Amino acid sequence: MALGTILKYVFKKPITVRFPHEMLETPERYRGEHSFDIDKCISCGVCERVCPNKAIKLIPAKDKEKYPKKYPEIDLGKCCFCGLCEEFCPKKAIKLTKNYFLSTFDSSSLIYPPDKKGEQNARS
Amino acid sequence: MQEVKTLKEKEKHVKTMQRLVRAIWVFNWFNSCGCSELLPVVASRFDMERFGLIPVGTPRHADCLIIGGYQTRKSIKRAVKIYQQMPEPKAVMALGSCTMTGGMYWDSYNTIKRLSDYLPVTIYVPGCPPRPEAIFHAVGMIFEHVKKAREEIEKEKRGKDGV
Repeated sequence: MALGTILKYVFKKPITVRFPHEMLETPERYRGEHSFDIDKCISCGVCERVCPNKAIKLIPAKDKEKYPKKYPEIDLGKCCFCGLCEEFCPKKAIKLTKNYFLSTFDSSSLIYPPDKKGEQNARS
Repeated sequence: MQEVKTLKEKEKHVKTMQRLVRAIWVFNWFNSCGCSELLPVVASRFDMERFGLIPVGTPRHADCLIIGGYQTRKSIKRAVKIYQQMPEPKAVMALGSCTMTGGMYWDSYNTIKRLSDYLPVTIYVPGCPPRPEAIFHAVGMIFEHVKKAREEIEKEKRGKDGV
């Protein structure tokens, strides 16, 4: 019995994930950093109303001639990554990507204005 | 991150950070769910001792304080006490959105909304809670930051000697 157990663990793969060299596969529906497509947005404001943490706020975009309405500004410092904004968006403008490397020295860099695309800090 | 300006101050900052990054000894202070994803980091699944991160039993041995999740009005007193007991080259790593803006507890009456009002936070790891890989990424960012700062100082020194 004991010998069998020893042999089992000798030929088993070690349980440790050697992180920088190999990575765990993220689940298919993992909810990470937001990506927002400003061209699809109709500024209905559902995402702002449905957000439980009030992380989304509608503000006017920088380019006012091209985008005259108000668009969501997402604060990842407040977000709880529940995915309700993605689920309720009628035009699928907000999507949650699989990127989770978000650490910063400055917390104000986590406020994403509507013009900014997601996956800015993604590790190459 | 505090702004450092003069060359001497920069050198001092890098020296303290360098002593920190050789092997980061970590003291964990957890209140809430921020802890749940750090357990695999400490344990053998991700095994943080491969990078020299070792959890220690007392704040007097620690270089880095990892704070996970929200702090209540009672527990922030203990957190500040722990921070004061740590020896000088020290850093604070804050996990989760609760430490930045309150996160889920934005309208709660007894949680601390911004941790940086009480402790000087070095690096933030957002997420609710963050994944274990994100914590390693944050540690890697500290390493890279020290490397960059050191190179900048060397450049400035060389420029001064040339003139």
